[in-house]
Amino acid sequence: MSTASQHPDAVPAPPAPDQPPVTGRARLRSAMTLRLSRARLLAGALCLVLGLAVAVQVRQRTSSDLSDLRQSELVGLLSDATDRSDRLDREISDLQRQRDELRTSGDAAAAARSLAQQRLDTLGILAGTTAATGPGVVVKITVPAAETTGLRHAALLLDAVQELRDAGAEAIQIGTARVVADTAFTDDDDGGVTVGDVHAHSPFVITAIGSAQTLASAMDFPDGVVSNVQRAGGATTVAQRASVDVTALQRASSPAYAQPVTPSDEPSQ
Amino acid sequence: MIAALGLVVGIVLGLVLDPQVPAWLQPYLPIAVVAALDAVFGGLRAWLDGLFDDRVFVVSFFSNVVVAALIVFLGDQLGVGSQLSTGVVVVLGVRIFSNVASIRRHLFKA
Repeated sequence: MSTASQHPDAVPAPPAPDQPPVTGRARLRSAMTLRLSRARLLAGALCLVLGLAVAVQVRQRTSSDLSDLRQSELVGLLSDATDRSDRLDREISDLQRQRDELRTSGDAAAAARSLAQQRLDTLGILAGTTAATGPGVVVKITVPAAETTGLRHAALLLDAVQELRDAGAEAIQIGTARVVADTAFTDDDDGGVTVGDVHAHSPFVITAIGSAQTLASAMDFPDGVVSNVQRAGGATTVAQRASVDVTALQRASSPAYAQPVTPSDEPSQ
Repeated sequence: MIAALGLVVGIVLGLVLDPQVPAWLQPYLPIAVVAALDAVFGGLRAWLDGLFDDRVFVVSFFSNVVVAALIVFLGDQLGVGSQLSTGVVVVLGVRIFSNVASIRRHLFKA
């Protein structure tokens, strides 16, 4: 690492004539002057090439990182990138699976909820806790006052309700009383009928929701409600409607003695 | 002075013209630049020692560049490219340091 490696013949260069040869500092000072000589021009030219190369290389470096790498390094980069993309692919499929599971479970919950709501509506209609609307019939039974005939009409009304039920009526209302499974029909002293806990007098208006045709013909068959009412001296009108409302409500009550049977052979959820 | 001017002009030209380096040359350009740098520092030290010869300077400049590029190319072909290029850079760095130390001794007498 000496100057011998740079200068095998170590001939002192012919500098400008008045250059003081003694100290390095002096030589530096002489270098600072703008004297033209072949040596200086050559040095200048080579330094220009060096500057050019430096600028180009720095530009190259900042613009793209991959082109001045060697093949082994590029192979390493490629395998790194492949590994990373494999890992990300696995992650993607995991997340997709999770998302699908959540989606189906969410759907299941929504389906269960809508099913429960449907059952609630159905049971409400049957129990009389929900108002209902639909096609049906309006049956108007007019009977003369019981004082004159001595006849009681609770049985008549019960018959009519039974016939309607047999014909598939889903919600029945007499006057302002909702008729459900445990509704009692009691004769009053004044000739009316107590339906559940509501007084009703002639004319009794029975509203029923179901297949209008079927309900109407249930009233009409021989020895049915219409003929019974006629025999009692009254009259019946049956009107089929495309839409009737049963808006009377029955308060829900829990059974005091009956208990539901829990199915013991069903698998626990 | 002319050398310094040449260096500055070269840098400016490189930034302004922005020449595209051909692809086969790209991996060897950095090594060539370091080798040329070593030659320039050697030349500066020679000048301060009063031993500057322009012929020697030119020859050493080009020989440094060519030999460094050749060694790296050979290393790539043999499969020890990165190791050999590291070695070349280390050696050139050591030479630059020793030349700079000489220059420093000339300039600051220390």
